[in-house]
Amino acid sequence: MADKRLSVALIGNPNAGKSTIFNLLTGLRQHVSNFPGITVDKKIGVFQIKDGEKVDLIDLPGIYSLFPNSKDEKLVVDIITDPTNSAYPDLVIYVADVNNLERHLLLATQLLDLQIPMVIVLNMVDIAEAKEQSIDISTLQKELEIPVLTMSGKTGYQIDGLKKEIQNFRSKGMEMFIRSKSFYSMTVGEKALTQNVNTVVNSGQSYRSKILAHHHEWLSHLTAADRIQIKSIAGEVGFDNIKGQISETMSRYNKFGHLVKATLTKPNKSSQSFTEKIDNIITHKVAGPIIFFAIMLFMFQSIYSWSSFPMDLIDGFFGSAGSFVRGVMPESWFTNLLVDGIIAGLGGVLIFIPQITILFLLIAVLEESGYMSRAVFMFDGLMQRFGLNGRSIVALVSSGACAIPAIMSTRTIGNRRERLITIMVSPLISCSARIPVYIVLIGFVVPAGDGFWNAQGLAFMGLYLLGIVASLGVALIFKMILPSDEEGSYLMMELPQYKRPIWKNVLFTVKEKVQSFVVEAGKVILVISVVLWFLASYGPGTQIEAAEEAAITMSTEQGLEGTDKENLIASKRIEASYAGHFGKFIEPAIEPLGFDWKIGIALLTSFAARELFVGTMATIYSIGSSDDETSVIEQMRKELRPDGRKVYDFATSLSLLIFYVFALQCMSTLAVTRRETNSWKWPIIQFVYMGLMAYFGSLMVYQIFS
Amino acid sequence: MTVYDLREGQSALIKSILTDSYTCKLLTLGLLPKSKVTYVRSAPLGGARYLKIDDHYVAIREEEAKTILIEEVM
Repeated sequence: MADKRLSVALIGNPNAGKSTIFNLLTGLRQHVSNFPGITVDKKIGVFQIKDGEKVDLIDLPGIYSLFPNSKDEKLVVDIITDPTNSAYPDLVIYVADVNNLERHLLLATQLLDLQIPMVIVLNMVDIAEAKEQSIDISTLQKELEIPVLTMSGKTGYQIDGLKKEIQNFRSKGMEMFIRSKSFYSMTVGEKALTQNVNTVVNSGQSYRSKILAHHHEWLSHLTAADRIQIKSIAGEVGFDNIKGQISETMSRYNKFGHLVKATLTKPNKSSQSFTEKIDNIITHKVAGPIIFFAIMLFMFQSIYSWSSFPMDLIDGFFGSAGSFVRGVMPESWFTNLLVDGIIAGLGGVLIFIPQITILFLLIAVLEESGYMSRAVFMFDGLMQRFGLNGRSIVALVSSGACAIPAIMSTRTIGNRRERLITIMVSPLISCSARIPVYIVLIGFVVPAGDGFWNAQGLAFMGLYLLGIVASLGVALIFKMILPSDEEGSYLMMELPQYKRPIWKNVLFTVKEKVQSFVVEAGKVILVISVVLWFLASYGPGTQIEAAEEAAITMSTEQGLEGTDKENLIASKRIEASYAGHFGKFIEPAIEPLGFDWKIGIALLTSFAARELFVGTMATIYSIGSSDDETSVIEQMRKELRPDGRKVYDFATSLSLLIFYVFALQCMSTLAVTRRETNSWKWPIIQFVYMGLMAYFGSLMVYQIFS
Repeated sequence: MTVYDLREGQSALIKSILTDSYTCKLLTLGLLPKSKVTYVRSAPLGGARYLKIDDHYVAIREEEAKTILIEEVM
């Protein structure tokens, strides 16, 4: 034990302020993995107690009780009832909102009965003090028989007190952190039940046995044999799962309700609270939806307006970096690789960091402030008509940033069918990876305007709307096709008090999301940029050399000089390269959509990840040109078809935009869908239906407008 | 009478909750016997209800409201 690092878990109700305390304790020493294959469910960090000893901290999803309804909550119960689980903590920091103590102690008393060492943190004491509410800590501590302290995650008040308790746990042993006698008194029937379950699973802890009996159907650490035995025991003693849950919950409420009344002094207030006044407007029958769409419109306009300056800076930086490298290094294949492969590819993607940051920032603010639950409330009725749940709105809005966290957020939807439909349609909402493609192509479809309300911003919003309409339409189809299941669907959720977002929480969330985008996408992009550079620079046999000689002869015949001559040579070269052969191979299939073989190359690389489109274009066109300073957009604008028409005319650009709105070009989304649905069937269906929509959507658009 | 029968702006005391698989969830949200419940407003597109329970707020669906029995309507 002495050698093993202490592992501590944060547990508490949703909105108790767990993540604020997590951020306060760990600071930058935290990491969250959002991508498949790694520990996705857990937010893990490290902090130090007094003597420099390091402690591992896990932030578990918020739950209301050990009788969960959603997948997220079930995960926590699975961990906490299985001492052999690698995430099972040595000590629990139970976080409760002191302003909602009447409800937040329910889960605490259940954990006490599991006899897990625990310290109770009464959070948000700053808000309580402002409301002139006081609490008698020593009585509460005496009654609960474990350490209790008031804290403020926002101001950092008593963070040292919490660390000291952990220190005490280390030095003085766990006895004072465990309540010896049970908080809940079991009935005779329940006692018989737990004794028998004890003998089956050897749990050695009667309340744990009761929870196992309640949840034997789904707890993952039980074997099939355990399940059968527990089921038959439950039948023998006449154990009713639901009634048992209700009577236990009521009994606990009665017991700690008195305790809360005895320790909490609340001022008498009858006036409407701040939250109620705001909600009179924000959830108003008419104003509410208008405000929601105004917020969405503001989000997309902000992405456009605020990001142009930092984007120009990044663009300038990569431009000069390319010229600088070409200037100081000798002309060689390696210099070409560096400038045309790596710098051009990375620059083409890193330039979109400002936009992604703004989007994640705004979504994080909406979540932190409490607005998102109002959106769930307002749109639950509408969502149900499409076979979705009010909670789906969180996933659909988050999909505007990235489908991966969005799909993961569907775990809060208890009903399997609603959850599945939400997962299936989320990737149709335009994500941040589509932004680069949209920005480049919108320039060819809509002329730029001046000021805040520019036409390109509106076109951008139009693409998002198309994605939203498509996702609802497809949801409706799934609703009709999928058989309804007997699992109940519910809304039932808390509308938390409005809070000013804690900037530290917002910034940590944004940092983590942007970082994973850059790191995860960056790795793929770097490799593909290099591969692409190779494919575009080399060809089978001596075809490239032959093409170059032919181009030189041609330009002499036509009397071409300077740039014109070099461009002709460059384009003949890329045509003879491996990439050219590849693009030409698929050209017949994509020609009816208005795409040429160069776009074909980009489509193929985009199937790894959409953001590769721009990187691919940068690579193809910077190789196809002698002028490195020219941006991709200008280069694409100049591009001509063999018959002299522009490649990126209205019809082709629009057709390509439609393709990117619909197609599922993201390996990570497929991986996360597989994991969340636990089958290959759903990601395959998702990929195929979106691919068909993309192909036929683009086909229609091009045939109409060309 | 149930919470479903309340008019917007009306309050009542919760008497009991009909037993079904989600009763426990309602309890954990603080919808307990003797709590004061106020029907604040319905969702813009219907379906959901904004309730005030003592001094906090929850959203539930109309079908869920039908399982909450009330007394002493104010």
